[in-house]
Amino acid sequence: MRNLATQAELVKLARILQTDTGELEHLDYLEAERLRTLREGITEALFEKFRPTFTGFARLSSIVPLAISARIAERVLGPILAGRIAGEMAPDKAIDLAARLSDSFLADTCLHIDPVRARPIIAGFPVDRAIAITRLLLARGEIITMSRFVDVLPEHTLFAATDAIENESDLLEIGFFVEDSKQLDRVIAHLDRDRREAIVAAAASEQLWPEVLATLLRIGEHARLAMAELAMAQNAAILDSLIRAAAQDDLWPALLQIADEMPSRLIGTLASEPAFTDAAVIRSVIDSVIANDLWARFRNQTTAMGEERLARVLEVAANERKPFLWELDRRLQADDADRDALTNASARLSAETRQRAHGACAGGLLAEALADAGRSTPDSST
Amino acid sequence: MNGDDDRLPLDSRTQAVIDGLPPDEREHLQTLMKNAARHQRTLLETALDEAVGMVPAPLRKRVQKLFLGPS
Repeated sequence: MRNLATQAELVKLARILQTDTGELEHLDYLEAERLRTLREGITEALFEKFRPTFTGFARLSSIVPLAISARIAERVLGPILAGRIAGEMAPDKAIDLAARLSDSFLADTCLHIDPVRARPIIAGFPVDRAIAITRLLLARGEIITMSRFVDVLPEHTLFAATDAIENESDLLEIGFFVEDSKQLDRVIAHLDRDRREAIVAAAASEQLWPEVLATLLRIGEHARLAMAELAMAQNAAILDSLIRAAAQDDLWPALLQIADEMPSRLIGTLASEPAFTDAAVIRSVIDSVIANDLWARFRNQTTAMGEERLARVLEVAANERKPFLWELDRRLQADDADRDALTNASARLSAETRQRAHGACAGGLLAEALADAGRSTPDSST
Repeated sequence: MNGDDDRLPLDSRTQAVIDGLPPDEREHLQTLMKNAARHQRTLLETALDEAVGMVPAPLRKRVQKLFLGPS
């Protein structure tokens, strides 16, 4: 999966350091969490270094008329310093001052505000101004900045801002970068069925499945299952795009994890799609199971997959992924829940494929099932 | 503000991340941090001069007192 979280942190760090993201590319191997530690520490240090000056500017609005404070903010401080000073101001003063500043200046300032530090201001900020600024930030493509504000927005502003964002792919991209997953749960609960379906459709049309699945894994189980159920109810084109994306970006660990929470629905539904017969797709499943040690999760789904599709998995494995069969055979025990499914799928294989699969096995129960199937059904269609 | 150097007062967690970087990457990041501190110092010094100039004369002394302290 593309490491978008790391990229997002590099963008935020570059902004703090007043440099281009390209200057930080050498750090792109670091985990997002370490980059976040770096960003937060440098932010704090840049503030601490000049605390008396920042505090002085923050108190200025208590001494001089607001009209002059507003002129100083826009003409002298500019968005970078104004953003760093905002968090030090008394919330009521900051809100009064913001009323005298242009939407455009406030949108620029948002890029440099630490939303956590400015939380009391954001909590009391007028919703109509917040929406106007949301639209400006969206028009400027400031997805990462917007996601940082989602983390601290009060519920009424959060919902109004969500409603103001008309493009569902924007919602998806912002959601991916939000750190507080409880805020995402609230947004999903707020969305009606039409918008949820539009989000799933946007994931398919904009190829945002990696972002969607990464986000689904972070939110609460109730919201996750609601979105997953909705996704499985979509048309064949959408499910096909999910299967292709899973194969291309190795999304199977995420899908199998979600599938464990909704037995017999997710993998069963996906497996019934024509794309699931594609050898490249099946190879991606097999490779992911081996590479990510997903044996238990995969085997939980073999029954839901259906005999025909499971037979196709065995066939591809017999032709191109023999170590998969060896390991599956080694693991299969007499009382395992998927033994019958594997036995029945074995019976669907052609004699030649069965023989090849048998040759790849380790002499265990799968090998036995393949041999038994050969005796009772000398040749099958697959 | 005074002519203090541009090193940043980092906390131990942040310093540990930086210390864990290869030497050339660490040096590059430290240069970027110093540049950011220098840039911010310049911005603040300029802004302070201009802001005081925009304040009505009777309030200037009170405003100047707001900014006393080391930085």
